[in-house]
Amino acid sequence: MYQDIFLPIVFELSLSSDQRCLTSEWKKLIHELLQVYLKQFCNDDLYIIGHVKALAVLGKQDYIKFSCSNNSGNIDIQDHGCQEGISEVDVTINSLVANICESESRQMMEKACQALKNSKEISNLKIDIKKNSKPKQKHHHFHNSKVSDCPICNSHNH
Amino acid sequence: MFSENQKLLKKRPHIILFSGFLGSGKTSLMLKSIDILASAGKKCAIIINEIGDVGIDNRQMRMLDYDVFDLFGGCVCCTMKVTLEATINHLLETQENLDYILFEPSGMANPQSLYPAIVNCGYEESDIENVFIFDVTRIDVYENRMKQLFSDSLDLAKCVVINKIDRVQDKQITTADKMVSARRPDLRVFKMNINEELEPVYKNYLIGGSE
Ligand SMILES: Nc1nc2c(ncn2[C@@H]2O[C@H](COP(=O)(O)OP(=O)(O)OP(=O)(O)O)[C@@H](O)[C@H]2O)c(=O)[nH]1
Ligand SMILES: [Mg+2]
Repeated sequence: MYQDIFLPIVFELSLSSDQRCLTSEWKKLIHELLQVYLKQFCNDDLYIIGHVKALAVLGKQDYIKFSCSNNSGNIDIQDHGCQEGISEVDVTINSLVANICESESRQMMEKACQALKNSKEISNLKIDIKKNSKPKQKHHHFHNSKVSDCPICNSHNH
Repeated sequence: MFSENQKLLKKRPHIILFSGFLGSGKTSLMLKSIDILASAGKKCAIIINEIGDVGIDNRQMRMLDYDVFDLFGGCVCCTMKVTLEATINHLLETQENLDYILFEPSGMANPQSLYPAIVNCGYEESDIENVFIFDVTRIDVYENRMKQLFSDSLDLAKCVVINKIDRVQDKQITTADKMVSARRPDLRVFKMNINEELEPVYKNYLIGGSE
């Protein structure tokens, strides 16, 4: 039994302000949001961070990528281009953490969003977490027993 | 006949597989490798298999203006295997003068399971340039929870990149090195910080090694 314990959970957030904000301000805010999210479990041995990564889309070719790939909770940030003065940013977060179920992770994300709502950085910040439109998968798909071992769990789960 | 087959094989693009655990640095190294290959005038195609309903790496690649073939919606198992095979065949049929296919599987996939699909496209297992990215900050995970994955990854690797060396102390790098050589003393090992300019030895290996 190994990697099957990492359940992929996706959050799609929409952040908006009543004012145009600088890229650096959005970056700081999203960084903080991810920090608050991660802090809730990264110090607990039970949870193993596989990879928590986020892409904030600023424009057609401009983005900020955030990445946390171990339990230190440190977040790496990579910028590409920058759009100055935007009032809305869409953020996709892909969270692969062992031993956290979707509802638990969602609660932690909601808590993080709540904590950031009164941010002084961004005027009148609104954060919307989109509801998952896709049906939940209990585990990754693996329907065809004729094929050889599944790379994720070596067929321990099927 | 033999020489005809060889001619066909010659025309086939090289396949480079960037394997490694979640968050190890596969996308980062693949992006740098594409740049290296493109500067050498090589034509590359990219295949990504990302776990989760919505991909991040594929979006990032597209924003950087790369054409990406997604194997989307989950892991490279069952149906995805068929998709991988179909995608490679599609590339072989439609992309003229393609020199390289670069493939980043999900960090949750055991690389062993990807080989049959590639072999079904006419490659030999030994043709697959498997670059195993060994994130040195993850020694404990490999040692304690994912031993099997680690040995499977090493067994298939053509070279190992021990990365994130800027994040740890020398003794951890030595430990990582020993973990590799204990199982595969023959393997070429590169130690690097992928976020920096890559060293010429890796560049040469990438271009020369698969030529
Ligand atoms: N400091 C440092 N950071 C690195 C190095 N290699 C990769 N990273 C960082 O590690 C993080 C994860 O890198 P990715 O390239 O996204 O890893 P990945 O293996 O593609 O991740 P998944 O596709 O989610 O499994 C990024 O923030 C990279 O900048 C390195 O050598 N040094
Ligand atoms: Mg990646």
